[in-house]
Amino acid sequence: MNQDKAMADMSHSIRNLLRTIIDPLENLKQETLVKPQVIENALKGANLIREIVNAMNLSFKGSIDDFYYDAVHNTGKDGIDFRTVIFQSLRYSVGNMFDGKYFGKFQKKYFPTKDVYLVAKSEWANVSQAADSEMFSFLKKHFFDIDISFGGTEAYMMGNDKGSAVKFLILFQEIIMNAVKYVGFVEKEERFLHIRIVNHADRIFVRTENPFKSNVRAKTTGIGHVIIENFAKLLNSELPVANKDGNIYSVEISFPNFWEERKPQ
Amino acid sequence: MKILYVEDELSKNITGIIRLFEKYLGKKRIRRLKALEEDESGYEANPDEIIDIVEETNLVEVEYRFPDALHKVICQHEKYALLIVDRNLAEYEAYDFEEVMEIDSAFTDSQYERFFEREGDYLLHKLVYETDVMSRFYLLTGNSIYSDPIRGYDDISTLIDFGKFSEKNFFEKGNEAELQKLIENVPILNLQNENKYYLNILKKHIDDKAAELFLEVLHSQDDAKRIRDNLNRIRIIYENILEVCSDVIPDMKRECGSQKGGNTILWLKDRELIDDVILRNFLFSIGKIANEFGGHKQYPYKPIYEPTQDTVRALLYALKDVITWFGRICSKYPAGD
Repeated sequence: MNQDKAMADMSHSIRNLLRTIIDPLENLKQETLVKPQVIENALKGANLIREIVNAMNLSFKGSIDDFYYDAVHNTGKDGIDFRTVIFQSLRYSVGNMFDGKYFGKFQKKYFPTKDVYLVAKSEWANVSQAADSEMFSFLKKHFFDIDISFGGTEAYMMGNDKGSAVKFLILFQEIIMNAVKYVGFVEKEERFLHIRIVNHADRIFVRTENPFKSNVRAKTTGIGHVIIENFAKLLNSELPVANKDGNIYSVEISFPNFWEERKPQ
Repeated sequence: MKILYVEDELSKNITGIIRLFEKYLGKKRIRRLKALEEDESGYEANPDEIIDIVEETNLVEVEYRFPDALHKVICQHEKYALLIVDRNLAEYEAYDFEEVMEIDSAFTDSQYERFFEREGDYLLHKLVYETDVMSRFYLLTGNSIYSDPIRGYDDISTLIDFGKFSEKNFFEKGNEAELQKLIENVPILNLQNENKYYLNILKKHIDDKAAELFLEVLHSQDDAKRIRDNLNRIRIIYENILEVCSDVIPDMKRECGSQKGGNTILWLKDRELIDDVILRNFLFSIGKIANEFGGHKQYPYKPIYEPTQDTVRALLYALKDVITWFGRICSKYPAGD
């Protein structure tokens, strides 16, 4: 995908989101009473724009050297370990499923009725920041079976002096969000998400696997895949390999083991 | 006639829907739509709820799935004064290729690929060589056509080159002020909107056909060539009204039989179901004039005075009062009681 197409798709996404901000503002001009939910939705839209632009911007910036640097200089307050990256990405993706305004198509798959949704939302408020085991049982109940194996990478810490921690977070948010969105289309009892991290001395391999419904096509104007591909380039990685094996969709990305491998001279 | 509005992301576009159809929705429906928009739970508004509210207008039909929209475009496009179609209909839910094939056998695998995320263009292609779409088919797009190239321009440009379509028929979402003006200025829709009170009574208590006849009279009341047709339509509506009345008003059928003339009108007056001044005279005028000049038979002699467009208009206004009365009678004597 060339940069022009990426920019065109981003413009399209942003334009759509801007409408969700402009519309309520236009309405507010005519309303005497300001409705908090309308403002809330507009703010969410504004934040999504910020996230998109930020992610796209970062995905074009920097080099592999930044990751090597931040893997070594990782004690700053913005540093983040690999386990946290994965869990934050998961929380971000699941949390978005409670936002019907922007993710309604996917939300309806997990919560076909409002009653089911309200029960899950109320539980999510309690477990979203709770221990992992609690979140896993919540996900099993309302979303999918989840299985994560870190392969010894949990404690790898990435600093953020050159923005690598944020880049890692955005990359895995996009990969996991994509899986969470499309798992919902299969029958509840068949839903799962597997995240496997294989830790070699020179490279780390991350693979997500989830079932998918073959007749559901992802939007081609979405920019998530552009961001993932750009980050893959920054990481000197092969482009992420997406496989459709039967009803299983998997994405695999690998990058140098910045923590174990010495920076190539 | 109606507007067909096709949008796959209805829940995200409640504000846009209100803006486009404000004139036809009315304040109460707008309030109900806004309530869906302002729901604090975070649960997406059900598109069917939105459709139910909008379609209460009887002027706007809404579809959010490509196969359903295609079915309407193929089978009943004549009934739409305007078709307003989002180009990208892939968002809400994937549609099965087989499902579309069942509706339209011309929809091939290659067209599935070619029109994916441009399903609205396919709907345009279905109509463009059959009917004048330029004045009634409008495509909504998320892109600004003035700053971005139109996606699939090669397909569209052929239609534009042949004068079958125009860039003016594209509207950028969120920037539809001109489209709103078009929507609000379709004469037949305005006529329906202004007369929805009468049309709804006829639809509810007689049938759609009676409402259509009434609309045809409204639409062609000034046409000198349609005087006899219009008087005939008025006669049919008048007779339909009295038939329903005889079904619901106690004893009317037994005492009046199937008569729809003066005796029946006097029967109604004697029971104080109509007044002696307005309705009695209006019913006599409609019954007599419409029957005399709107019957199937050619008038057997040269009348001293022949009906004019003013006769049609006079009876039309009298008929409006009769319909109002009829609505009240149906409320007073509900069918089936």
